[in-house]
Amino acid sequence: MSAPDAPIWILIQQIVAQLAAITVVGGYRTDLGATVSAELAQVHADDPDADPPPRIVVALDGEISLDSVNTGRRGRKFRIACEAAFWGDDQDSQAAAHAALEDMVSVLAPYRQYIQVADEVISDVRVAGASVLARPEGLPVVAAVMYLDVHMLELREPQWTQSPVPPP
Amino acid sequence: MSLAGFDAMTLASLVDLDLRAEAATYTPPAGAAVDCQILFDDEAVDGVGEVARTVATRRVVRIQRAEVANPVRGGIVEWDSVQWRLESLFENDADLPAWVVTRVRA
Repeated sequence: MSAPDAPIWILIQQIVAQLAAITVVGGYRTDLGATVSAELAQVHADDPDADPPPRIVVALDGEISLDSVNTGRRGRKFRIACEAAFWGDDQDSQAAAHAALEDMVSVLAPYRQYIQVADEVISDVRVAGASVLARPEGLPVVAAVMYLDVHMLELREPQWTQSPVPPP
Repeated sequence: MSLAGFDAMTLASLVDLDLRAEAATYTPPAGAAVDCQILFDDEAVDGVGEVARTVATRRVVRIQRAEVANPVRGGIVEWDSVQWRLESLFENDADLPAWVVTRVRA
């Protein structure tokens, strides 16, 4: 019996699966869904053996803040980045970037959704924003990123414990 | 010998020796291709991305004004069957202007 995956990892996998639906055949503007992963490997676009752009990488962006003070239930707040990289240069990068952003936002519509990631863990996922990253001149690759704000909450009742009273 | 003549002779020698120089063609945005020789001035790996970087080679090349009098942004240089678009002027040298070029995807 294998150990269960961490809830945040399960959520990332579910978002990967949703983004994989982005295909031109499926009615979207791009085929970014063909290569979606949760691996943070750096890709060299000139390397014929690497997975070249276009691709989307889904990953935790920044830190996880714990949020259990008010409810007693264990909660976590964090941000997930869905970063698309695709071919582009000074001639066509804007159009391609906006197509990518539109596709990523559209596939996660409605913009707010509740995703159950374990028996008693639910995630409130909301599209928080998106941006086109600055392209260094001379680079044939453009990147656009969509940010998801997530509030993950455990549904089980909190187990209140009393702190041991120090002896007088 | 003028400085331009010295540059031309040096560049031809480097092309012959296959040392950071190549025989190429330059095609302006509206016009016919012309043969030229280019000198690789700078080459570095640069990248884009916040969570997972995609990197690629960024190149700066020099083109002789004796062969291409007025290279312009959007012009295409081609060597080894790969096309590169002139993106921005890196150094406006009188004889060998340097341009940042972007690889054109097939």
